[in-house]
Amino acid sequence: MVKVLVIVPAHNEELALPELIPNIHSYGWESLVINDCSTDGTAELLDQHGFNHLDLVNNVGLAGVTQIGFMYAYEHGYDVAIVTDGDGQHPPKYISTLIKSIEEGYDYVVGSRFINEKKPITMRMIGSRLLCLAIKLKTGKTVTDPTSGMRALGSKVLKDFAENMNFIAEPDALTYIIKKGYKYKEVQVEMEERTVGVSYFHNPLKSIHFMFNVLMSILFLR
Amino acid sequence: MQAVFIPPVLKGLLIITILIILAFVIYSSIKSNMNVRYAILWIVWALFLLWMVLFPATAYKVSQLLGIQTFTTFLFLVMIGLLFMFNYYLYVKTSKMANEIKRLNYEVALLKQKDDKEKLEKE
Repeated sequence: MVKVLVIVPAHNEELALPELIPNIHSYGWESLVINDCSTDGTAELLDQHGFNHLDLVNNVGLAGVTQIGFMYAYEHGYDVAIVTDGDGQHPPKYISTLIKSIEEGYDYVVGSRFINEKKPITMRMIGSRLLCLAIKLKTGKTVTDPTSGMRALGSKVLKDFAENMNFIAEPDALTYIIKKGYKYKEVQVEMEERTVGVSYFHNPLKSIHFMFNVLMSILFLR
Repeated sequence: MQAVFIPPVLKGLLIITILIILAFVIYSSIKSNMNVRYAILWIVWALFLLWMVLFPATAYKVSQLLGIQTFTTFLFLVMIGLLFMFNYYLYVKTSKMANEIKRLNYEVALLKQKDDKEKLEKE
């Protein structure tokens, strides 16, 4: 039996967490919430419910938070780390799907929304297509959902990411995985629309800035 | 061949300005406890400027040796190049520090977690 840690980055998620964490536990997984300097009641809530958590001293952003999660998982002897958004977008029932692929010997498994489903034509998905194209250009491999935050890391990748992770976000991490020759796989999952809280990407200018940085990172730095 | 000529008044003004800069750099580095390595860099910078004002002919000579047609271009090239280098060095430093802060953040959070757990056990 592999030792699995579900990492939940959380920034002002006091509304979603009380439901999400017991939900994860109900499937029998261990969880770690990382509170990235929330300004709402997230910290108190975590203490009250006694959820396993880390309170960061200053705000390090999503990429930093996930890396801290990987460091924790690696140093505490976990074999597999799963990242799940703190807002409840990623239903915990798919965790076992990801883990199954890891057990089959894959190093990096991504929950994709678009293996069997068609990609809708929205601004966000046009961005997603652009990233697919960039990854295709760089690696020659076809991916369907490069921005998916729902990922499982096997022990090899976990060690690598805990020690030297230098990415902006998921798409360039995925490019790195492919370039490095790790065995990766995408599995079909469904995601829910965010019901509470605010996304990191609510501002169009920020989204453009993000896209630009990720594209540059994929094309030149990976 | 035309030598570089700086009118005496301008030269005096420049020298005074640079001496003020030098004094400021030294004073404020000591006062703000600036890392000695960085302070030295800025002192060398001020000395470099002083050299340019006191002996423009030598700087001119260098620009000629390099085959740069006008002295101003040489100055721009050198100055922009140097500033670029300093700036790049800062970027490298900053990202290193960001990593170190992340690591410290993690270690502190771990200690806090341990503390919380011990408190829970006592209760």
